[in-house]
Amino acid sequence: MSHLFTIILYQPIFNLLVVIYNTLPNHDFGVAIVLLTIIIRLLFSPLSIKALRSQKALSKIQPKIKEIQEKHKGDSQAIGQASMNLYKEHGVNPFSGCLPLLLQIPVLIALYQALRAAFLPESLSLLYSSVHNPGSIEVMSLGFINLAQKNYYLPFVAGILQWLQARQGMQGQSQNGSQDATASAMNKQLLYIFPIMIVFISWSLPTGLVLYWITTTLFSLGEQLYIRYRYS
Amino acid sequence: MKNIFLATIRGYQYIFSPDHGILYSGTFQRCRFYPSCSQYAYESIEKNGIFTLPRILLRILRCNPFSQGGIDLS
Repeated sequence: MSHLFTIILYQPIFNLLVVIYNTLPNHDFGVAIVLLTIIIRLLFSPLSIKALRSQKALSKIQPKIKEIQEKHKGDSQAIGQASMNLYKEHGVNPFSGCLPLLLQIPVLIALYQALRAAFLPESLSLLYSSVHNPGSIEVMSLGFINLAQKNYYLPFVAGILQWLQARQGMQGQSQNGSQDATASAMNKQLLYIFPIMIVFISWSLPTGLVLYWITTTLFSLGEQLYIRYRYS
Repeated sequence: MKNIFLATIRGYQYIFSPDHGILYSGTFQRCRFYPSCSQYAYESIEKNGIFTLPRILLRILRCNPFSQGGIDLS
């Protein structure tokens, strides 16, 4: 299983990362991480854009959703079933589904391994024969960020961006009015809990990974903005 | 064995799932089906044991923006 994981995910991601590193004129591994993240997110973007567009379409059936919520007040099971039927009837489904969410986890683990291994000379043996072996990889990015160690500022940047993204997502929803009162109260808590979690988690991680998280959050922000202006 | 799986699913639902537990928020990053994939998995394993795992896996694969979603009972 772990061998399969190495061949399918870890090794390709690691190789791609080194190819980007080799290609960059200044051989900056931090920039390579940012570029790799953008490539991965672009691969996923048909999924997220489809889901985001479907959320926009939701506003048309909004009155009917309100009706359902009034009718089955307090019975979340009945609300769940009735709204699923409604979505089906109108051919919209605002949720992106479990697969995109779960797919990101193995990719994240592979990236984590690749970033941890990158600075160990022996892991360069995982490179495909067609990929040029750079010998070793420079740990410093932009001359002042050590990618292999912790960084005391970037976790806060990651947290703030996460907060911005959550807030933007919430605004989109309240425009649709697609939330009941309890959900929006929960959301307000979540708006802070998740960013704080991100700060604490990234505090203990090597900076390369925090850089990944910052890039992917920025990408999501951009994606949301793009959908909002393109389809509004 | 069965109980370990069931407990793991409950734990996942409480801590990580955007459909249940502390992260539940009504946001859009969630399951396209009713019941949700994790609940589907829970009910399937409870009813038919862990040999329904392939079916659960198929359900999760179907749960993406290109499928219709809807009601799909275990």
